[in-house]
Amino acid sequence: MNIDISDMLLFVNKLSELDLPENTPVCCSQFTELQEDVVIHFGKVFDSDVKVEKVRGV
Amino acid sequence: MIGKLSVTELSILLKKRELSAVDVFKYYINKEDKYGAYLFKNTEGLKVAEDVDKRRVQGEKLPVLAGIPIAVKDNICTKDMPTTCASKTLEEFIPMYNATVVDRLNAHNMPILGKTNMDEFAMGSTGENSAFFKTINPISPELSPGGSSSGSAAAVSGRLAPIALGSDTGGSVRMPAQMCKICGFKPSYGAISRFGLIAFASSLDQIGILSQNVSDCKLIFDALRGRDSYDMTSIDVFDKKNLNPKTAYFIKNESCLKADEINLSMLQYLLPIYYIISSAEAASNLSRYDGVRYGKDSEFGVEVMRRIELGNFVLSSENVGEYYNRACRARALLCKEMDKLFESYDFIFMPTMTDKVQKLNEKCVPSDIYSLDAYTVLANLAYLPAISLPIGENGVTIMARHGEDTALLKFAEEVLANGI
Repeated sequence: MNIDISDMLLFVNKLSELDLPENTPVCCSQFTELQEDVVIHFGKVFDSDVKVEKVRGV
Repeated sequence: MIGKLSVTELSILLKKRELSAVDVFKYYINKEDKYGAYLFKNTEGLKVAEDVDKRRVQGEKLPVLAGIPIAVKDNICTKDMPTTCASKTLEEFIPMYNATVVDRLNAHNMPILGKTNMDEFAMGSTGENSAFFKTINPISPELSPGGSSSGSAAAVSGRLAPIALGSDTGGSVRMPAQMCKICGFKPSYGAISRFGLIAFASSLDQIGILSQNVSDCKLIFDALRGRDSYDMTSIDVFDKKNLNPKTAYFIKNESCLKADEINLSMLQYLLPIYYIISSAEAASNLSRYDGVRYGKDSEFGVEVMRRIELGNFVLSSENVGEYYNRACRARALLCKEMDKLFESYDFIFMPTMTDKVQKLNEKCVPSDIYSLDAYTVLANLAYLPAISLPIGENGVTIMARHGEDTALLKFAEEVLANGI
């Protein structure tokens, strides 16, 4: 099956126009303390530059 | 007469034994499905209804919802019943376990009427992506019923079920609810357990409720909400009194005259953020359908393939920074902006739909369909509770702070009854 995603790419490329402040953290869903640790752990494993911030506390 | 009664009214009559649960179940299960709302009808639900009647005759005190039949979207796992996600890939899949919501329905002695039609793997906004057949809008047959919970919306609107469960990843409960002129509620992220909901985009998915009115929605939400040890993102929502709520709106319509006008600077970026994150998560989640684990080769429709392809593109090593990581950071910024707004306001209004209405079988490019979600994706991206009320041409959505679901439902009930 030949799938064309050019229309979708044009659509999502609009995000490049957003002026994103440097060091904006990656968004995580709400986490308990344990879950937050887990996510930070994964952040370290996959990308040491990714900053994880708790944005929805329980 | 049964078909005209709300859940609240049915509950009272069942409790007084002026109606039997068997009669109610038989009424709904025997109704002709002229809208293509169901993929599977569960005649076994009659046993639950019989049990309810028997226990009531014996004088046993039963939950308030006991004997009320409910329809369940076909991406929610039901033991010994097909759960296909309206996909050929899962055509023969019968789960060995119940989703937590199904266990909770069982605990409240609610018979399940059947599994409702949907866009394949919940990807779509028109109900036209089901691999089996399209759902018809009971109110306006020339228009799409909305999606992806098309069958659940048509079942409630067409009186084929008193109430139904759907799932909402970017508006899939609220949008079809508005198209079919009923209420659609997406709770806060985590307020209802997602265990057993077949994943599309895990950080956005939420099980929601489609109902004829807000009181019915409240009853079901109370039965389903709360922490679940099988879903570590689940939370307990709290009750809060809002005697004099402060309200605001993003986009003016005739129903928000008393609210303050506010701006959301990121409104124009909501859809790109949503489609990058949801497609990336979908590509990851759907990789399990590899022809080994579910005993059948994957056989996805065009829309699902398109999203998997976009998801893999935005996650590829050369693009992940520019697309996926950027979208995640933009989402964090959006959450902060919403938090700031909710420091000043208790409830925020916006239309459910844009002015564009999709006709059934109308030909268009994918991005035209994606634009239908322009307003609804906000609540999913920011983890907020949101309810769509069938007011006006485009519907009214009300959002509240994360976790304040019960206050939102109470306020929505007042809005629907008395206007804004």
